[in-house]
Amino acid sequence: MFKRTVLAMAISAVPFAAQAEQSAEDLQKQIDILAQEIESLKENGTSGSSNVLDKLSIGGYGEIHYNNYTERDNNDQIDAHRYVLYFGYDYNDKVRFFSEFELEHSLAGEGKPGEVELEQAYIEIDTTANTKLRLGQFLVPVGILNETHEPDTFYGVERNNLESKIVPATWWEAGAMFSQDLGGGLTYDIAGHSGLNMFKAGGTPNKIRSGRQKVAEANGNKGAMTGRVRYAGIPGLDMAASVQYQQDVFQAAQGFDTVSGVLVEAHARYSIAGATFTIQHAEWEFDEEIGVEAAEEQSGLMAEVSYKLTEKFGVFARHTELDWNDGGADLENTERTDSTAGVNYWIVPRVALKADYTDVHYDTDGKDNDADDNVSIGIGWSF
Amino acid sequence: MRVFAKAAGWALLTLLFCASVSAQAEDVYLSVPDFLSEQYETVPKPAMLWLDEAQRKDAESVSGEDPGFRQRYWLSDQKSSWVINVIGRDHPITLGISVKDGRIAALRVLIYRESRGWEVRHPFFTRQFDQAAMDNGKLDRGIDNITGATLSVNALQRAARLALWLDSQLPQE
Repeated sequence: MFKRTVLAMAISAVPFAAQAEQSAEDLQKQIDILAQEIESLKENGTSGSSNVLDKLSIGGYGEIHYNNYTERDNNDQIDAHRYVLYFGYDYNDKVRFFSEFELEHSLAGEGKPGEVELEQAYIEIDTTANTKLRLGQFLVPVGILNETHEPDTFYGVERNNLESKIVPATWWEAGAMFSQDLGGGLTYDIAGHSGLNMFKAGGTPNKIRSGRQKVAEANGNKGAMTGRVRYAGIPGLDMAASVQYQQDVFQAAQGFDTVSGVLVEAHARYSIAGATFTIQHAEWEFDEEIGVEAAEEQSGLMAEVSYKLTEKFGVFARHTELDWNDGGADLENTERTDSTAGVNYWIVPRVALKADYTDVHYDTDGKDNDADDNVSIGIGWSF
Repeated sequence: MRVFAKAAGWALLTLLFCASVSAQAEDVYLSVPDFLSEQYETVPKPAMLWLDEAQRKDAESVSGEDPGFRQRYWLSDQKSSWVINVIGRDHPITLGISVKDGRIAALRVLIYRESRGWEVRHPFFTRQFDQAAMDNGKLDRGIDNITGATLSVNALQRAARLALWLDSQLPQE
């Protein structure tokens, strides 16, 4: 009798035990769902995970500079050099939009010094886990500063002249770019895109920098291709080489021959124990049909050493040599050497105060050797 | 122009063909189950660490990251594992981090969504975190940067500090 009672109790207890276990699981699930909802409400003010704000990203950067030319009595300048806003939108995990909208020099418009610019506007597709396709208007994959130029990421108030006059950063074009990560820190990019237009009335070449059409009703008669290989397989090391081919930097100007151009840029940067060593070289070679012999070859070399004394404070020294064409029919190029030394102080990791001194030396006849020596102070931020 | 357009057109078509062929691929480099299988011979059942306001503030002061009011974790052989999301530049990076004896036992990038800084996914970079511990509110070692990926590198350091802090909050057996 006793045995039967125990057996009956055991049998009847089974569903209750199962039910209790089931209830605990249900309870856990309910807690999880409620917790997720509370988190979502706290973060977004709405419930559910498909909030449009989750897909939108906003960021930006800016820099304000003061340039004091030590050997001149005038032309010192205070300038809100750049004010930039980023807007991005994730359509899904694999397709996203990114854009960069910039106001340069504070005021834009008729007779004003600045410009309103659309620097980037592209759709990026993760084609596989290791490949991406970028379609639209993007930064050309050349140099160090062109793609990463938030002011808190580099030393010096102004960007170095190699990446201003030879690699005309900030340099964007429209087209398609395919990128692949081969693993082990080796990546490559290949892009087909719009080209430069260096043609000036009369057939003399314009400056490389002035050849940027900025995808503003750009002359699209001739295009360009850029390839880059990058190796960053050792922590602290970044090495890259880019080659660009321009079909015709005169954009098929009537009555003029084709002027093709090739840009080769290479750089290496290594950081160890707070010290960073950088060396960079860039060189253009244009067809002789460019019409001015001096403009056929233009190049620059930059070497920089920096040292972070603390997390917030760093010092640097930079040497830049340039040989470039000012545009026009000058028989000789401008040869210029900049020697810069200065400090960066990061108030917080993404806000930097900067100060530096640059001694400019011209090897070109007729140039005042001291005219461009300057002390510069700036503040830059990104978010 | 015609010649260029033709070449560019073919190049683009080829790329789009490659894209369509491989559109099934995931940008997940390591799934959570695979990460856990890598960490444990027998994957333990997950548990939940609940955090009050004071703990969250403490976590934020140490790591720069708010852990929220609960964190799922796995614990076995004195080793805890955490799945942590941190923002790099403007997208979340999903990391699997294991901690044993107050040191990072493994740091793996599970999902990387940023356009730049792919290198941080690779073992040659993440192995810098192996055996890292907290020392006076910081990691006890310098982590070498990657040009153009500073924000992602910083995000990984914040996540490592958070995982070490979370592990320190577990009840001592």
